[in-house]
Amino acid sequence: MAADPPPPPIPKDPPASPSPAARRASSPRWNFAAAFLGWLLPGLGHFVLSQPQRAVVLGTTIGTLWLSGLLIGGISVIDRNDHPAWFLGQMLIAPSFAANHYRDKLVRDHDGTFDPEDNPPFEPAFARAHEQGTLFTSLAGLLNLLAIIDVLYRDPRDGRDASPKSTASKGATKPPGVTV
Amino acid sequence: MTALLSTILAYRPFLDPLPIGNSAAWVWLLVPLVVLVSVAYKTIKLHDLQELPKKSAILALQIFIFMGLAAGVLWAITLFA
Repeated sequence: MAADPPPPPIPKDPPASPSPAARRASSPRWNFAAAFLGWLLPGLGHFVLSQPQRAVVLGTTIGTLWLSGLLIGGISVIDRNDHPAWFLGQMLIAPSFAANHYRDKLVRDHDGTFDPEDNPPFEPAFARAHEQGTLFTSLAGLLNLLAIIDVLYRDPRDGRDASPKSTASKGATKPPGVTV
Repeated sequence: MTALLSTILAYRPFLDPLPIGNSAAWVWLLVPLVVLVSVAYKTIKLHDLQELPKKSAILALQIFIFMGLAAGVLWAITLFA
């Protein structure tokens, strides 16, 4: 009596291809609106991408750096006509344009010279105060450029787009290539 | 005393520069500069913000050390060159 032949193997289901919505959600994407908001106010770009913690730290540090520059050197450190190369760094934060415009307005509205006897609207900065004020405001702009680039092109697979709770539940891990 | 008082009273924040002139006090401004740059940079780079205080402190320390080394080298060049 011959033994029963083994049952034929059950064909496995072919791997399900991800739906178009899932593929769209996991593909890298450009966030132009978030980048623009990040330029308007440091940290705002990260805030609209649901990273409030990162947004608060970035807004506080970059904002403090920019305001410290203005406090050290006065409003004359932001001057597009006098030092345009430094203004290239400063303009990476939108409020620098407002400060430059306000300084221009003060100069236009002032009749006399910038001697102390003429009661000028602001005192121009010289020497170390000018150097440090310019350095602080320009570095704030360059750091904001890094923050803008960080929000501009985003890969959802890096796990930073999701909130910590949902990331933990998905078991997301640090992908290879993310350096700290 | 009168000169100091008149300087303080005449100072308008964000319009006038701080009266630091060419004194060596400006060096201390590098401390907040380096700390703020380190924190902002690491906030962008780090995947997990729990590590932020430690990593930014390490970066700030590295910047201070290399700034000191660079200053020492430049000082030596001006001294012996």
